[in-house]
Amino acid sequence: MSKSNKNQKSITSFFKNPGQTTTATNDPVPSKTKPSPTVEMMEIKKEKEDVPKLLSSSPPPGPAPASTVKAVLSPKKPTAAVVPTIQRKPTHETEWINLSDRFLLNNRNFDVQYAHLYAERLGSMRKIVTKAAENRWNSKVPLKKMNDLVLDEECVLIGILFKQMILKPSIVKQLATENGFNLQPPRKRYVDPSDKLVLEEESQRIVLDGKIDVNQFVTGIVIAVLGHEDDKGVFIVKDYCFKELTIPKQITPTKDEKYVLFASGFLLSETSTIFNQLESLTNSLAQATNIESTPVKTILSNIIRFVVAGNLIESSNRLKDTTNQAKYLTRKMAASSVEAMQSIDELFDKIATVTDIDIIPGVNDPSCHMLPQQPLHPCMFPTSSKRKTTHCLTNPYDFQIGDLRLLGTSGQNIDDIDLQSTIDSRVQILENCLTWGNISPTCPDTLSCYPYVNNDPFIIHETPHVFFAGNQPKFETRLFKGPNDIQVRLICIPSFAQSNTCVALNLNTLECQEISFENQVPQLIQ
Amino acid sequence: MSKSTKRQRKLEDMFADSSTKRIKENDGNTPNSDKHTVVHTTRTASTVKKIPEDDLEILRQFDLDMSFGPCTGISRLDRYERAVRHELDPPVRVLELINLYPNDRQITHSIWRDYTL
Repeated sequence: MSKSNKNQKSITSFFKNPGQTTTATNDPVPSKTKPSPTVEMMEIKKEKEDVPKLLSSSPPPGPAPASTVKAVLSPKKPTAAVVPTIQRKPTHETEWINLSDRFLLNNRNFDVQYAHLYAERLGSMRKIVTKAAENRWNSKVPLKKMNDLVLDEECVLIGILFKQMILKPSIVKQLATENGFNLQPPRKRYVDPSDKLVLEEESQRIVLDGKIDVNQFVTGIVIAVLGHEDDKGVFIVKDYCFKELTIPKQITPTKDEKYVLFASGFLLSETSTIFNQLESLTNSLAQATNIESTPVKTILSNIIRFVVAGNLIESSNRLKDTTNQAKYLTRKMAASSVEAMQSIDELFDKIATVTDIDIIPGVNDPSCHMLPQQPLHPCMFPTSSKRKTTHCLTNPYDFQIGDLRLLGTSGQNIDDIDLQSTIDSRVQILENCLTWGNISPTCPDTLSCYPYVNNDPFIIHETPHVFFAGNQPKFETRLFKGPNDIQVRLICIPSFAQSNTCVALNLNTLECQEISFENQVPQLIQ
Repeated sequence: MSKSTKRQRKLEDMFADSSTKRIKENDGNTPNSDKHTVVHTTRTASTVKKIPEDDLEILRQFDLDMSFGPCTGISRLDRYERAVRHELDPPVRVLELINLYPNDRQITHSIWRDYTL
């Protein structure tokens, strides 16, 4: 086995297990890592064996992502190499099914470029977008490739958008300066009036102009444009469209009222001031029947899941001061993030006694920086991970409760789109991500992500019923109504450290309400 | 180099490089298609079966065809699978060649195989 394979094994086997166990996390950590090295070995061996036996289908790899299937390499029938996780039938009405397998990274190969991710995005969405284009503008308008463009002829082009922005921070420009300093301070938005949209295909690109507002778009969206090429070589857009939304499954209402509570952004550190509010939260959940106000009482006593959408601790930027000091001075100092994680662990332990808790890493959390962020390791939650009700999951997080399908992130994707465009409403950005068909279109351009080759896990193949994002500046929600009676609840979860509120979602009616824990008594915010 | 004495032959076996060693495995019974797998070093290029230039050209054209996406960094098989997945009708001959020579890096990897990121 080569050296790199060995290293990959040790790193991936360390991080592999948290995401695997979707139910019991009762076993202590050492026993969990035992089965993984052999599984890794089997996977690596199988990949090598597959090369000679090409015309027969190879068995799907081990117990790890059950959703991926290797291609049947007969030249006649094309089959998907990676099947996107499809909604499954629940066995009882509030069963939780984790569909985030595609976000788990098993073998990490950084020897490839990001061009493959874009090729995969365009290639897998091209057919769906073509169908949407045919439905919108009848088939009389020809669908063309860029090298077949004829001057002034109206046609449809399909490609990926690229936004040329001069203010976008570029490492190349930074390195070109003498000292390698940042050429500009970080801005709130990198938008400039001179920004241009370019449509890219596999082999060519063309500048877009016309009825397409540059400030409303970002890089990485797969789009179909209707228009014509003018004599300057610019494509004048008359109309555009994206992939059509698939119709989500009809939800059958449950007998009793069930709620899911969303929270994000605790931002714990040694200077946190929200401990009273956190205590109010845990007390309200534990003793929900003692609450006087009836609507709050019904909500808090019927919570079946508590989803924490990222940013459990404060960002560790302040720790950089200690790295400049001599080692002997900082030897006995514990990083503030360690204490913060301990407080989080105690908090989650109390909550886990009442309801199932899903922990998604955010931008400040000790998980990998690039999307998709891998689940936080249970060793960071020594007390709470012993309970079966604690689950550590990936960011983005795709899951199903009964017939309801939910999809969401810790907010990095929304924040990044906000930086690159002038879309002012965060819930509008959520809606746009849904209509564009991608959880995070700016990956990998301005938001770092893993260099995928065989699939793009950010494509939204199946429309969820609920689409949420954590760590947003304020609570906003909207019921998006699409064609074919599609209704999607869009939720922007506010940061708890600032707002002291959580969001409760009614699973039957898809209504969303904000509950404040600022005082000892929880209150509904109207 | 004289191979007369036993002692000299023993020394040769220990210190000589493989190109001067007598190649014993390659007897008349091995079929032609397996001969290419018997490769000792790059200097024994004469024992490697010559891959027809036309086939290499087909592979080269498959690499350079932009409609199948970028070709660097991934094996030809991965790229072929991706093309099949996206219904782009890649030439079947590429798959056949990859099947025939699964261990030959010249076939399984793209023309940019020797250049890293």
